[in-house]
Amino acid sequence: MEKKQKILFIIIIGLFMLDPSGVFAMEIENVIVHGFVSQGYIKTSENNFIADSTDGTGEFNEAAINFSISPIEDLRVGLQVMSRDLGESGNNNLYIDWVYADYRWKDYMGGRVGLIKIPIGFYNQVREMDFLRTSIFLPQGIYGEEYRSIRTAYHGAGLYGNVPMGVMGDIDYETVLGIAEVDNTEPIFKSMLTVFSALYGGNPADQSVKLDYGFASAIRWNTPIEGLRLGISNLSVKVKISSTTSTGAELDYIIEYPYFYVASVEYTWSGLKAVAEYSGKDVDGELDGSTSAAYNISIQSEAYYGQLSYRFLDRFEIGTSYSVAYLDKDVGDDDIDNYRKDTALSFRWDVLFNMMIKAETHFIEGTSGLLPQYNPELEKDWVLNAVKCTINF
Amino acid sequence: MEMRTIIIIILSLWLSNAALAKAEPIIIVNKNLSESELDSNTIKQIYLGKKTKWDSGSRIVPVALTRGKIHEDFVKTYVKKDANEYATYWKLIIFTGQGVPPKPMDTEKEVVEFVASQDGAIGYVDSTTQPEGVKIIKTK
Repeated sequence: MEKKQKILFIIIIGLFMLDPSGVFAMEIENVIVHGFVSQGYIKTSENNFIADSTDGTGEFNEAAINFSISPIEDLRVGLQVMSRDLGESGNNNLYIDWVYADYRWKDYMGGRVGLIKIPIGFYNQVREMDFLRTSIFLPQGIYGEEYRSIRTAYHGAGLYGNVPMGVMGDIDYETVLGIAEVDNTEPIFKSMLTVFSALYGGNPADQSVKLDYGFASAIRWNTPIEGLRLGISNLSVKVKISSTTSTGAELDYIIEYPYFYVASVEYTWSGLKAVAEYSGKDVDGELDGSTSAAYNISIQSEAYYGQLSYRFLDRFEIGTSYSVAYLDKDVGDDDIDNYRKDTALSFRWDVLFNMMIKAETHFIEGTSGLLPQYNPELEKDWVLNAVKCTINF
Repeated sequence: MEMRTIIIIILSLWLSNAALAKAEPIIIVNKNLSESELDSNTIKQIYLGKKTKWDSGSRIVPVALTRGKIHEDFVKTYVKKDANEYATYWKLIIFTGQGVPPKPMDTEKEVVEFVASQDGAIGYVDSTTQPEGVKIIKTK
């Protein structure tokens, strides 16, 4: 563990020890401070899920600390520093998860400028914070771990607000437009650049992936039926892979999502929570400046899931989910690399108000999303087990 | 111990629990506010961070108890969530930087003192409390 990450962990544990009873906020000279740290372990029966998981791995942790201050009325400035590790992804490098200025001049409209988390589905903005849900992992078809770099936060600006609708409830809306830093050492992009290099020549180390723009928008309807909310969100992105071929030519390959929408429904009643989400995605790719269709791709992906969880005895939660994802919905089940069907069982125990332990099992058919550099051979049916402990304040 | 004594003890315990179960939260605001009545949906929107300004345009400053029966009854009655769901809701908001929760208070005495001294403040206490220096709001 690097020195900076050790310092972050010590700060978080120290602040938790100062106040383990759990309050809503810790205030230090008008600066509100929160944080969490989690450590997990993954073991898969076959196939490596990002990390070297067939042998079992503890390279599975997150830690974050955030600060917020309101220097003048209606203006708030906040920052969250984070560290995460999932196999070769993250590697406990410290990074800024979000930082922005938020000015809310009306309840129905406010603006944010900075590095802003993007709203896809109900849970993209909180994907690292498993203490907010029963399960350890979110359904991977919609919340794939491998695409965090381009689906987590954008440098840009956004609008948001809440619009009351009387007897019809109220609506929350949010938009974010910006660009993202793409870490080319992330496993998915290393894989992408390796494939590109094999097709066009050149050294992957001389190639780069860049997000030219991303635009996310979401509307959530808090219906008049208590506990029921509906949502629709969309993400459009343009990614550019730049390469120098073995002959010295410079190429740009453009990948766009004209749309990546998620329709969501969540119902909560007396400790029971039921969630279902459906997503459709269009992925188009072409070689910039080329008139040949030989390099073009156009794929329509599809993913959906249903999830139930129940909280009992005020400290325990159990949950189950079934999720399906197709990389290319026209190919369907014909190719095991094209789909993934996942039945999961989850258990959560709140040991203290702000400390929990979880255990989870996934019975999976299909290998879509698994990276070839970790899996020279793939097995169709496999099991993923995970345990995790999280504390937060 | 006589059977009659046992029955009296059991009844006393049951009645005291029933009394506790019936502790009702009342809403208090700073005396300088013009509002004398609020509907329950407005209170819900305030405590979910969605309504941040009074009709006059001044800032709403909500306070919340950190735990206890009155807190549980308040969030159940007005916010329509149990205490755990309410805490989870605010953790989501906090860890995405989208807002700050109501100011936490450990005791009803602290709630009353803060609401009495802070412009725009709103809080809740047990109906058996006789808060001084604040305005009690009617809810509809």
